[in-house]
Order: sequence, then C-alpha cells, then structure tokens
Amino acid sequence: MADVGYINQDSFLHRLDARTKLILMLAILVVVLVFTDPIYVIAILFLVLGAWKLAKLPLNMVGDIFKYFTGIAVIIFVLQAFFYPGETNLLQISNPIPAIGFSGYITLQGVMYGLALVLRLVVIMTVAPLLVMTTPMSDLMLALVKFKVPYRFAFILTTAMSLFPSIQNRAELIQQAQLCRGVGDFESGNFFVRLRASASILTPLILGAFRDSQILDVAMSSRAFGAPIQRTFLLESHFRQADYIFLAGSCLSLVGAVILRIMHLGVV
Amino acid sequence: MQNIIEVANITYAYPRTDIPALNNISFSVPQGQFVAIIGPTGAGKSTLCYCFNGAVPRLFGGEMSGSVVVAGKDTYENEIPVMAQHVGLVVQNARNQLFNVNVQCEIAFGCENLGFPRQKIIQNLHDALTFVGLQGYENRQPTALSGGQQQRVAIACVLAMEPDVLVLDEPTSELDPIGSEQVMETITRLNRSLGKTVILVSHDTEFIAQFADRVLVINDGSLVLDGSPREVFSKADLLSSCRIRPPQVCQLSYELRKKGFPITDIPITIDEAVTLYEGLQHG
Repeated sequence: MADVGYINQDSFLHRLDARTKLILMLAILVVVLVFTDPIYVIAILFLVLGAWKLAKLPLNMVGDIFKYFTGIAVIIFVLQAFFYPGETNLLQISNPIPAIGFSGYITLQGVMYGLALVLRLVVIMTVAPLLVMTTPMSDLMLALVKFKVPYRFAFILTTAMSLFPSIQNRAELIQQAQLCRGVGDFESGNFFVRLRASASILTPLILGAFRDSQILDVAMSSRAFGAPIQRTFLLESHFRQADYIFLAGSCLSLVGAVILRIMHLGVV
Repeated sequence: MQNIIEVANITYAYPRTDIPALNNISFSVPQGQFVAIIGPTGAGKSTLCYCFNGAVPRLFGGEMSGSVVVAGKDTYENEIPVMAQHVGLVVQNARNQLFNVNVQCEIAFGCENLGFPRQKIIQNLHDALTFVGLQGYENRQPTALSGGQQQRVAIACVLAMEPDVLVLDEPTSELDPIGSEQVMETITRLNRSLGKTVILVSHDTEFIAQFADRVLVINDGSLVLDGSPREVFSKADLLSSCRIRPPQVCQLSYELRKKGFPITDIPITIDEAVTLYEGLQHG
C-alpha cells in the first residue's frame, strides 16, 4: 500500500500539523462559498496557487486538473449565464420561455455568478490535493482520530485511499496478462467492443479484490484490529507556533468573510 | 512442561460443502516446542493454522466441532483480536498481510491495537526490527520491499505483539532461495533464542528435519502421523502415500535399503548421512 499522492518535500505546509491543514482547508472552502463575486474568488484562487508554489508542489498538476474539468465548467457556466435571475440585461437571445424559467436575456449577474461558481469549483479542486500531497496518510488518520472521528472509520477511510494505487497496478497487470493470451484489444474498436474487452479486466480484478479482502480481514484481525482495548498511538502530533498562527489566520478570515458578506461586499 | 496449545477433536467444514476440511484432529503442544506441519496441497494445513486464533470458523464461517485452547483461552469464547495477544499468525502471501504506509506503522499497528504504552511500542518496534535484521527500514514502504523482506516484516509485526505462539503458514512458498533462507533462519531463532512456541507449515522437509522438534502429517483433513522428524521421515511408504517429499538424504537411504544395504536408522540430516555412508564404505 502506498502513501497515495503524498509528495515528500520540506515546506511550511508539510511541517504544519495535519489538524491545522484540515481546518485551514475547511476555512478556505467556507470562505470561497461565502462570496459570489468572481473577483473575490479569483483572489482566493491565487492564494491557493501561491500555497502550491510555497509547498513546492508541481504546478503543472493544476493544469491537469483544469483539463479534466473544462467540459463540466462550460456546462455550469452556460447554465448559470442563461438561468440566473439577474437585473442588468446584456443580450437578448430569444423571447422569454417561462416553462423553463428563461427570461430570454443573458444578464451581467448571470455571467458573473456562473464565473464565480466555476472558479469556486476550481478552488475546491486545488485545495484538496494541497492537503493530500503534503500530509502522509498516517498523519491524516491521526488528525481525524484527534478530531474524535472513530478510529475504525478513520482507518478504513485512509486505507481505502491508499489501496487505489495497488488496485491500479493490478488492473495493469491483468490487462497485460489478457493481452498476452490474445484476449481483448483495449485501445481500438467501437464502444461495445471496448466494453467487452474491459470486462476481461474487471472480472478478475473484482474477484481478486474479494479474495484479497478476506486475507486482509484475517491479517488485520490477527493483528488485534478491533480489540476491546483502548487503542494507543505510536505517532504523535503537536501544535507548533506556525500551527497557532495558521489557526488564528483561519478564524480571522472566516470572521472577515462573514463581516464582508453582511456588508454586502463580494456578492453579485 | 505445560501445554500451551490444546486441540481436541476438531472437525470443520467450510460453508457450502459437506466434505470436512479437518477431520477429528487432536494434539497438544508444550510451551517452547517447534512443531512442523506437513502434508500435500489441499490437506487442510492452512485451515488448521486459521483455527489457532479462531479465524476458522469466525471469519470463514462453516461448521466446527471440538475445541482449540491456546494459552488457556478457548477460541470459541474469545474473539480473534483477544486471541491475537497469544497467537501471532503469518500467512502465505506476504504482500496481502501488509497494509500500512510504512514499515514502522505496520509493526506498530498490532501493538497500538493492544493498547501498549507508546514507550513500549517504540521499544518493541526496535527489538522486532533488529531481530529480523531490518533496522533502518522504518520508513520504507512495505509493498516496495522484496518478498523475503516483506515476510520478515510480517514476522516482526506479530513478534512486536509479544505472542506466546507464532503460527507461520508456508511463509517461504513464494520466495526465492535467498529470501527463504533468511526467513527460515529468522524462524529458527524465534524458537531457539526467544523460546517462542512455533507452528510452521512448510514443504521444506530438509529444514524441518534439521530444526523441528516434532512433525505433524496431515492428509485429507486427518492427522495421520505425529512424531519426531526421525520417526516421521523413517516412514517411507506412508510419506509416499501422502505425496510428501521427504529430505533427499532419506530418499537415498530408502533406495539403498531396498538394494540390500544394512541401514537400520534412516539419516535425516546431511551430517548423519555422511557418517552413515562413511560407515557403510568402511564396513
């Protein structure tokens, strides 16, 4: 099992306690959901990207995230631009169609809101890797436990995440084995041909996973997983000065965001 | 000497089958004994291993009768995690029994579950890693190790939990010769240096002849022979009917005896064989 996504670097983000990072992430998510003005959201996005840079994480991964996201982004933007009930009409494209709630106009507010919504999602998608890539899975689990998440649940969550690379490895192995036996061409042919070929990977993959899970069950129980004893932990986590600074910063930005919102700033 | 394991009349069948995997098996093991279990594939050796901590029948289901008591704890009355304090189980597939992000977390896992104080975990982690000869591997990823190293990590994992008994189910069957040798050497020291009771399932009869105190032969779910390596490996016909390959020195001696050589005691190790054949040459 691997530390999925973790990139071993020495940076301020790597050194922060996993609890601080979890709270920081939540604070950013809340703040970004408070504002609907794209300018504010862009400002937060730049903060997040700055953190990527400071954490010495590969920025080209952000590009990969955008690539997968473009299609959905366009759909979200267009829907908002058309259907958001705005006041400043920009462009009339048809007569009103009340049946689907379309006023016939694309409004400035609609465009702004659509833009903000897309940018919010970009922020959400760039914040999550920031946590995963700077925190070993074992630290993340400990943080969850310290937040009173039941150990069993925290363990299953982090173990399931770290299982992904090994499942991927196995899928590749099966694909190679099947190709050697002349089963399936996974790259060409129409949709149905490829679907049939993928069954030859998925069947052994799923059956193998079931068998492995039983061995895993035996191995885990044999190591006293679920013993009716108060569990102890080898790893420790301590707040340092930087953690307190970041926690204070998170609280201040939350309060600040709420105040701005009450003053009707940052909203379309 | 006090018995650490008491197995009485166990009969067990897996779910959805009428054919018992284990058939009325009884034996007891005194503390500190090195017991080897041999038998053909599908004889029920692994199933027997899973009985010691209650994984059979708790995890596998099925019907079981008889009783298994280890360190005074009955597997019927105690859950697997409770039995785990007394029985350490190392399974055949090294990779599937390691599921933590690094070796340190892997070994600490069992100790943490048993609620050992942190200082003790650190001490046991250090001792276990030193014992299996993998100091400095604390932060390595278990899946990135060689098969032999993985199996030694698996041994360290159960060793750190301070069990009375270690059960090892074909720990070397998937390993290369060097990996096997290192694992077998570790197992020997578990018994000889630490005084742990060891139950080892293996096809390596050469190793068993040299190091085990006692051999159990399982065939078709039944215990067909129980004795010292010398007693067991002298029974050429029975071993061959169970499709078990005895040590090569024994096979040679069986053949020589058939040819009329005066061999009364079958040698079971190379040293014994050398002495015997030198005697034959000069005599």
